[in-house]
Amino acid sequence: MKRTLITGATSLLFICLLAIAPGWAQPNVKELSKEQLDEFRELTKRKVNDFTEKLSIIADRKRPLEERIMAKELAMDYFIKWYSKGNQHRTPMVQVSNKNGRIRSSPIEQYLNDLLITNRFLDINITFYDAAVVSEFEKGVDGDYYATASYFQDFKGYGKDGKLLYSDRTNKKIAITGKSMETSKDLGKLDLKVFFGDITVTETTPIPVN
Amino acid sequence: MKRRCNFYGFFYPLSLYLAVLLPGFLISHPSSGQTFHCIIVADTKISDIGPSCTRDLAAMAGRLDTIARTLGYRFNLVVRNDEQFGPQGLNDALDQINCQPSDVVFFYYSGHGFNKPEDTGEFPYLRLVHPAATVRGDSLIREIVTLNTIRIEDVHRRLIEKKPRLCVTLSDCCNQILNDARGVQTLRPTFRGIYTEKDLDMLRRLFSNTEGDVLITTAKRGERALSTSSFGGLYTFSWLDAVQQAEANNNDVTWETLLNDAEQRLQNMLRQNFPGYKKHHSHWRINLKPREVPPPPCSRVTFDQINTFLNQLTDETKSFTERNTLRQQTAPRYFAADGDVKIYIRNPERPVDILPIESYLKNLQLHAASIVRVNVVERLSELATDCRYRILTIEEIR
Repeated sequence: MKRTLITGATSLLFICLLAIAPGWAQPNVKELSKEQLDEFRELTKRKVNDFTEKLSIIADRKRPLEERIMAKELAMDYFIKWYSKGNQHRTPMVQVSNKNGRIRSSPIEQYLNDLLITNRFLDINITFYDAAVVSEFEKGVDGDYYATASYFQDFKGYGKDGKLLYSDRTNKKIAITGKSMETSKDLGKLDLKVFFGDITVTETTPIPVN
Repeated sequence: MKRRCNFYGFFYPLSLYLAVLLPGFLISHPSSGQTFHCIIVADTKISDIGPSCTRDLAAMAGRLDTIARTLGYRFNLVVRNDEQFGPQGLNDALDQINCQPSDVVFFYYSGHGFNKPEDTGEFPYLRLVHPAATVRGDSLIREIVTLNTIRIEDVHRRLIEKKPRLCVTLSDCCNQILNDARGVQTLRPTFRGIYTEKDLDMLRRLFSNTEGDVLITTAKRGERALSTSSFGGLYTFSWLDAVQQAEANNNDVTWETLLNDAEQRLQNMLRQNFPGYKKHHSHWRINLKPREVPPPPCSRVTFDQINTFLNQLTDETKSFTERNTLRQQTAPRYFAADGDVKIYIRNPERPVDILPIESYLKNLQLHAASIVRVNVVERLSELATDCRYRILTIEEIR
C-alpha cells in the first residue's frame, strides 16, 4: 500500500515536472502579439521616414549649420552601436552608388559626415518619394526580431550657377533589429527597442543630366 | 469669411459623432438629485453657417450629456434651433430653467454674433434674427443692430440669477464690430482622438467641485470667428478636443488650464488649416469660489503650458533658430535633465519607444512639417521631486 502511494506520488511529480519543463527550457520567452508587432512596424515606418527627412536636412546647405548638425546627431541615434558579423564586431555600414555604377560602403557616421561636408557638389538636394515600406517583424533564433525597410531617394548634385551635375534614383534597404527584453536587460518597460543596421542599395537608376 | 465665417463641406466626421455620443449610451445612470441643465441655441437654418451650427449642436449636446451622466446628474436638455431659433425661443428657454442650489447650468450658443462700435464690452451680442436676403450693406447693419439682439453677458447674468452652483456660458460666434465680407472653403478634419479610460476626477474638478460662473466667448472684441461645415465652429471643436484630452490624459485640470488649452488648440488649428485668415482668440471670465487645496510641494508646470511649449516647437511659422532658442530656454524649467519621453502608437499604457527628453524635443523641431499636434498624457507622466517632469508620455499626431 505504502509502495503504491510512493509510486503514485512520484508519477504525479513527474507529470508536474513535464508540464513546467518547457518553461525551464526557455525561462524568458515572451511572444509578442501581432498587434504589438504591428505597432513596432508602425514605429519603424515613422523612424525611417524621419531618418530620410533628416538626410535631406543634413544635405541642404541652405539650412543653418546648427540644424544640419542636429539632424546628423539624431540620425546616428537610430543605429545600433555595433553588431556581430562572424567573429567581428562592426558598426552599421551604408552602401552608396556612384555615377559609374560602382557601389562602395562607408560606416554610417562617415556617410552622414560626407553628406554634411562633401565638396564634390556645391549643393545637394535629396528628396524621398513614397513612404517607407516595412516588412513584417520575424523572430530570430537569438530571440530578437528582424525586419527590412525600403525607401526610395532622388539625389541631385549641383555645381556652379546651380548647374545639375549628377542625378540618380535609388532604392535602398535598411536592416531593422527589434532588440527584445530577452536579450537586452536595459530596455526599461519596452518590449522591443528598434534599431537600424546596414543600409544596402537595391537598385540605382542614373538620371541623364542635360 | 463668414460668421463665424461660413464654409461648406461635404465631409461629416461620423466617427466624431460616434465618439461623442456612444460613451453616453454605455454609461449607467446613477441616481442623483442634481440636475445638469443644458441650453443650446443654434442657428441651424441659416444658409451660410447652418451646417456648421448643426454639427456644433450635435457634438456639444452629445458631449455634455456624457459628462452629466458620468457624474450622475440628471440631464435636462433644452434646444432652440430651426424654427425655434430667435429672441422668443431664447427667452422661453431661459424662463424654462429652474435651478436648485446644487445644479449646473451650461448655456451654449452657435450662430452669428457681433459687437457695436459705441459699446465697450468685451463679449459679443448674439444675432438672433434673420434679415431678409435682399437687405444688404448699411441697411443690413442697421437692421441687425436695431432688431432683437441680446448680449451674451445678459444671458449669463440671467442664468446666474437662477442661483445654480455652477453656471458656464459659451458663445461660439463672431465678435467683430458688425458684419461684412464672407468667404467659402471646404475642409476635412485632420485631427483624431485617442481612446483611454475616462478620468472621472477631471470632470468632478470642473463640474462638481466648483461653485461660481464661467463666461466664455470664441472671439475677442473686433474679431471674427471661423467655422466650417466639417469642423463646426473651430473654437467649439477645439474646446471639445481639450475636454476630451483632459478627460483622458490630465490630472490637475482647472477651468483656467482647460480654457488655456482650448485656446492653444484653436491657435494651432488656425495656423495649420487657415494660414491665410486673420486669427481670432477666445476670451473668458472666471468667477469661482476658491477651494481649499493643499499647497503644492513646489511650483509645477501645468499640462496646458507643456502642450503649448511642445506645439510651439513644431510651429513652422517660427524659424529654426527661434524654436531652438525657445527649447534651450524653456526645457530646463519644465523637464529634468535626465528625463525621458515615452512614445506610444495606440495604447498609452504600452509605449513603443523611450527617448531622452532632449533628443525628443530636438526631433520635434526637425520634423515640424510632419507633426500635426502633440498631446501630453499627464496621468502617465511623472514628476521629479523638484516638480519638473522626469517621465513624459506623449501622443504624436502625424
